[in-house]
Amino acid sequence: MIISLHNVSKFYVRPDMTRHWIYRGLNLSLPSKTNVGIVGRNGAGKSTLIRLLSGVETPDRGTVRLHGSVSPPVGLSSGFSPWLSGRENAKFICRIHGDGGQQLEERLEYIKDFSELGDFFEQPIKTYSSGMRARLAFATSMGFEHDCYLMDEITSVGDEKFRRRADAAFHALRARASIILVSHSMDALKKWCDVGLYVHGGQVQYFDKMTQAIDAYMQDQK
Amino acid sequence: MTAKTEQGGGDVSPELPSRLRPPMPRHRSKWTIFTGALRALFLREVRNRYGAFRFGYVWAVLQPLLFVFLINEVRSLFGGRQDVYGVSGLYFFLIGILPFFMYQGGFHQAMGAMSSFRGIFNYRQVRPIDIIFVRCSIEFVLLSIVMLIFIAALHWLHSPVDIENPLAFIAALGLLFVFTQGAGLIADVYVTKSPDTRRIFTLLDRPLFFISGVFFTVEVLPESMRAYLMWNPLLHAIDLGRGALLSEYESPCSWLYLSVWAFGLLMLGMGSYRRNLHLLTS
Repeated sequence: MIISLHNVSKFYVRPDMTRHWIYRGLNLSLPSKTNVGIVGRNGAGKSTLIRLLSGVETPDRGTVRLHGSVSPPVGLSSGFSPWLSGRENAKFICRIHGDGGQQLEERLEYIKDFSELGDFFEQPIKTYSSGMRARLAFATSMGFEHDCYLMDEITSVGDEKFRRRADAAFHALRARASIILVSHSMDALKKWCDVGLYVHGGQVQYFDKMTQAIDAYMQDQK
Repeated sequence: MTAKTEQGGGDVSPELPSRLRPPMPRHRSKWTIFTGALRALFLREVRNRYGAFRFGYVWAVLQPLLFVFLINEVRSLFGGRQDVYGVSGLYFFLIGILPFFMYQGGFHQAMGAMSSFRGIFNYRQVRPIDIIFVRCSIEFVLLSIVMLIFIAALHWLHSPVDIENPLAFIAALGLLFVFTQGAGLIADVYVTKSPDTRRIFTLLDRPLFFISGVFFTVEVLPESMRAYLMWNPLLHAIDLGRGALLSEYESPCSWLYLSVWAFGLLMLGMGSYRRNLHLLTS
């Protein structure tokens, strides 16, 4: 068991101060070394689920338990400061993971190599194109080892060359860790995931096969 | 497919960099994670605020320096006496206004901090409260440097500089820091929860500049005003600080009263933080 949710409830407060409940009394446990795909309509609570799993968001009620190391959402660029260079932003993320000295420098070089940003690595992020920003974010995520990687819609990063690189990284990653992927691309889900979760109506349905979850989701779309 | 060794992992594929991925840092205690996040945030925030601009660090120090100088000029137009308690009017004013700016800067930097750092909370190592701590610290460190520069400059210009009890002054700043943290934390928790409350906090904060002893000591206050103004904990902090530095002035203010406020606010802040934590990162 790598992640377990017990009796989890989560709501957001709307501007008119009423509560919008995403989950009520959700119980879920995910086996380790299994790649999980999550499907569901927009606003069903997929991203909230990922954020709960990553421990970023605290449930309003209930508990979320993580065993082993779970990554922050992969390819996330909202934590970057536009005024700082790619290197400085990456450095901050290395530092909060506990890197220092030689190890920090090595990881920065790894991230620089992976992102293929070249000289732009030393420039402020506000000068980046959106593809370059995504490449930096993805490379930064790939610089760290975790038991489980969380991804929220990440499969179309950068240009063709970088996409091939990301693909190769996914393959390598699946061999040593597991992934939990939220996506609207059924092809990507079928390609990368073993088991499936279907999120709808505040419930999370577990399927032993990814294809079954997709079928259930497609059925409801008609 | 993969080569994972003690030295870290290199994923073998023609598409991937040949460089080895450094190993993950060993298991860290909660305390190490906390202090590590504070350090990283401090460096990032300083760089973000000042480092990104040309002469940014110079401006960081120069700006409050010039501002204090300007207000002092205006103050002396309105008949601020040139020499008080055996020191120049500028020095007297300086040791009052800089602690006040530490409070005000820290408070304003704290308010709104959590919502502007939302993206960073995706990294579990960083908790919202860290931001408040870091932003307050930056104000205090920066203005302490400004103060040292000012004092050194005055000394160099042979203007009388009086430092009677520096430790007591640092203690007053320490309590002021705790106070600022507590106030900033409370304000930011509620501002993050419902942005409308910002107006209330700004309204409460505004008159403080004139009633917190930036321009006067408690000693010179008429008895009738003193009864009211002495409720203000900031007045205690600033007046105690002044009393600590000036050998000709003994502050009638209370260390106990200030401490109760400072730690009371901090506890209240942490309580409201803990209670609302599930609302703050989303």
